[in-house]
Amino acid sequence: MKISILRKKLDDKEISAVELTRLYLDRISAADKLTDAYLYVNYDGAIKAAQSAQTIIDAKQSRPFTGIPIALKDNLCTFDMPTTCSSKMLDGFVPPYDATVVAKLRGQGAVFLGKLNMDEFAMGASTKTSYYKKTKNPYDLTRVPGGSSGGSAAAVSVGLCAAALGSDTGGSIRQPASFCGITGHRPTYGFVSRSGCIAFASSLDQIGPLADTADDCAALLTATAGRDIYDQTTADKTFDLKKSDKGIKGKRFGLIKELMGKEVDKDVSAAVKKAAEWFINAGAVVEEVSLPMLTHAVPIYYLISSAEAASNLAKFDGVRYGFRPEKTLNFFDMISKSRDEGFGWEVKRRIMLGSYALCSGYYDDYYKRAIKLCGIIKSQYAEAFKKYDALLSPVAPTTAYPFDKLPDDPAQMYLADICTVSAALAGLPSLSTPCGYDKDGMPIGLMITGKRFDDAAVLSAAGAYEKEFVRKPPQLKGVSEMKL
Amino acid sequence: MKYITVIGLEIHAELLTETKVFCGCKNSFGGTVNGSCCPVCTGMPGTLPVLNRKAVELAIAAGLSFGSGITQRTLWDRKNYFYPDLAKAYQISQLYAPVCVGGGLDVGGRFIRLTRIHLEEDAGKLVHARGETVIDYNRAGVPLIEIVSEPDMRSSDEAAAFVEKVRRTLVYAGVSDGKMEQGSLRVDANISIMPENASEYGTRTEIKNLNSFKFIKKAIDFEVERQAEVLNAGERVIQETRRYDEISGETFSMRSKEDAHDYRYFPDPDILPLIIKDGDIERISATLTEPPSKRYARYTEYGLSGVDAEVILENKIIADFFDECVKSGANPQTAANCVKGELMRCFNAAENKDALPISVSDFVKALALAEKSEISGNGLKTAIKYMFQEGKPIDDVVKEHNLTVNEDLSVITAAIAKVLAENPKAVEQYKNGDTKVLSFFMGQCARALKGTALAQTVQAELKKALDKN
Repeated sequence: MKISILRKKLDDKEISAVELTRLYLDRISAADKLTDAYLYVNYDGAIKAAQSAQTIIDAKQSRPFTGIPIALKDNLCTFDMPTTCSSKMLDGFVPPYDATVVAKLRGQGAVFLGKLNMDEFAMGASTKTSYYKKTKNPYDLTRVPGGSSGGSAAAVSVGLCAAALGSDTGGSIRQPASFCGITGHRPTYGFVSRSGCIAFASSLDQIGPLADTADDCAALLTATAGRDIYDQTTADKTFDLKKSDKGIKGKRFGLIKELMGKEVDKDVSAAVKKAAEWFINAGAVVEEVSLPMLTHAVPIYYLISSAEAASNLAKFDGVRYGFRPEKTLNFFDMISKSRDEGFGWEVKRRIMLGSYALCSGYYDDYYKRAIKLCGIIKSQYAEAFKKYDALLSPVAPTTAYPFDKLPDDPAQMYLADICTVSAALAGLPSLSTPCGYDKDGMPIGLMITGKRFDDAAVLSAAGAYEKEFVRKPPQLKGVSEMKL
Repeated sequence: MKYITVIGLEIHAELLTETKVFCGCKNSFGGTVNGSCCPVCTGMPGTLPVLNRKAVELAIAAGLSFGSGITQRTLWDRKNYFYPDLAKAYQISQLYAPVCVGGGLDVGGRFIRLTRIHLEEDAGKLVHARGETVIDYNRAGVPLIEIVSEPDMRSSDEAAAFVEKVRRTLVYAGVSDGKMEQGSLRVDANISIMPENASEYGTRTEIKNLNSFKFIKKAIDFEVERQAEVLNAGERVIQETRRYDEISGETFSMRSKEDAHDYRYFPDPDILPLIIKDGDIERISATLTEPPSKRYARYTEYGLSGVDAEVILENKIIADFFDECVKSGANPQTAANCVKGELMRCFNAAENKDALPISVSDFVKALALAEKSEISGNGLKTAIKYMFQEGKPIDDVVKEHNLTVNEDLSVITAAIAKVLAENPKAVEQYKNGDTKVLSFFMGQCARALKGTALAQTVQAELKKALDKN
């Protein structure tokens, strides 16, 4: 349900914040048995938050998210709910603080419905590496929802929250949004504070919205963006789409040649081409553009992100918080057993890969070279943006695949990130919006990537397109469409 | 065989910032266990470091004091290793672009070069008690600079003198309190020896964590001796890290090069590179006070002996006090005598070593009273002692303790007569030509008169009395 509609209904007293929250909580109780998007449902806390939101509304002091039911990816710290990163390592862990984005929304009187499933420590593209549960794709329960923000995408898709926050390190917002047929936006790196987002790869992690529409994503970006004293990498900028939305007429778009090749499913590339045609018909210019370095982006991304992850995840040693086995011999035994038993396979694989890439003797060949090549990716984007306002491509080479079709070879699995990792490496704003459905009815996403801090360009382009594109919501047995 | 000793030092100095280097916690010594730490210090998930610019400025101040070059674009790196006192399992340090490069200082006529100065965070502290180990994170995140020297020192004495010079320079620049006994300054020593005619350095060992001048000297001397024995026995020195045992006075192997840590350094993505502008450097440079080497030159120009100048410079509080006295018009030599005499005696005995409980104006006034013979030399000492102990102004002290010179000859002669009567043996000695006892009599008289008489008057009267006798 669109946030602007909910806002109006709340402010017009057509529905109370508590009623609205109950409606969502009831939907979660009924439907999440099928999707398993939630790790934790904040039944009591949400009602209490709705009650205090209502007093703000009654006092006619409501702000854009007062009383709006939001759900959070489980790597975003919340002082009143567990934050586990879907890992045994942080089972039951309740941080003593809110992430900055959570505090900002809480400050507006937003209602938090709960915490959403994800790949363990955001490592994965299927949400299957979660220690707790398998989230299912609402369009086909035998298929993956994508990942790592798979719980966020599935919950938004079924209407188990008005909107959700996720995080995107190499595609973790855009790919699940694409698989679940909703809109997901990765903001420019530095737009939104990472403070309180449990780090995977610090130079790439960025918190962003998953919602029904680009407008809703823009509203969430406005509410969460800005300089944060707790995160030195944030920029002193605010976001307001209304001020910068100039439509798409006369705008120039580049269709990325390297991401439209044979590796991409026919249905996917056809849908993206069709969307490109729509842009032309709407008065924009669309031309093919070549960024050859993008074909090397996957190994570059995995070296950099794993190196940072190996360092970021070293703090989980069982000393101060998190999982610690009962019987250990000494400190080094305690730390190795804690990590051995606390982390899942994918996390361990990345830690090994990252540690290797940073070892003396390999540093120059791997980490340093990856950083150098990342610089080339950035300069190829910069070159393209001299000519184009934004770039178009698919979000993933395929639509959501069945759980049993997940490749066993991790290298094969990583290759599916080819479309999304480059924008992350370059710190660019990039979103996914539905642009079609394949022969099985699975959603296809169109990716729009913009210049640094020109999130408005991609959000307004997507917004214009969404007004024309007719979506097919998922049909879950026994779960009707959200109506007020 | 004769060997040349080659020493390079790494000096870690805690910086005098109000708060820690990456969070808002107070940077203070001691306090309740884990009373000064927060989620950043304890490496809680989701927390991020925020650089304290003051720490960078102090590191730059240190560099300027040693004539180092200041890096325009300085970077932070992560040094990864597991240890319970290192909450994040990495230390934020600087490998690739340290804040200061080069520089050096003169030690006894030899110039000891610095390689670099970099900024980093301290770790917490393990506390072992009752068969358990607990962790105090108060020190975690305290800003440190590591001053790395070139292998330019040739003896343990020179190394200790270098550390003292560095320590003093840092204290004078307001960079560190330099308190080795509190761990504010810790030294790692890299030591090797080579035959006199050798052209290449020998294999070095590193002794970690030396925390007093005594131990620096002893550890180096032991290690030089040990390495010489190894070489004389026809064996080779192994490159390794060693620990100095303060009780046995020996060094022990901790780990060899083969099992040295691979710290997997890489740039910390959470902290942006810091651009240091010329304006920043000028501003910091303007805040620097006169370094001890320049003060030494100035003091000897005043006519002070080198020894006196050194004694005063040993403690910045004393030296600052002395400078203020001179600025207020006191005669430098007179002021120096009292400062290094009675004032330092009181200071050394006092518990509070962070400030002097005596004002410059009172001290200078006391000196002037003595100059004008309104109080005696002994009276001046007494006055300083009481001003220090009671924290009262000079006028009150003089009044309350009757220190004003009383030139009543009858009182003086009476006191002298009493002293002579009480010490017939000494009088005998004097008569036999032993004039040394004169100072003994002077002291006795001074005590009897409680400093109310001038020395020259007493001396004249004393001589008269003795000769009459």
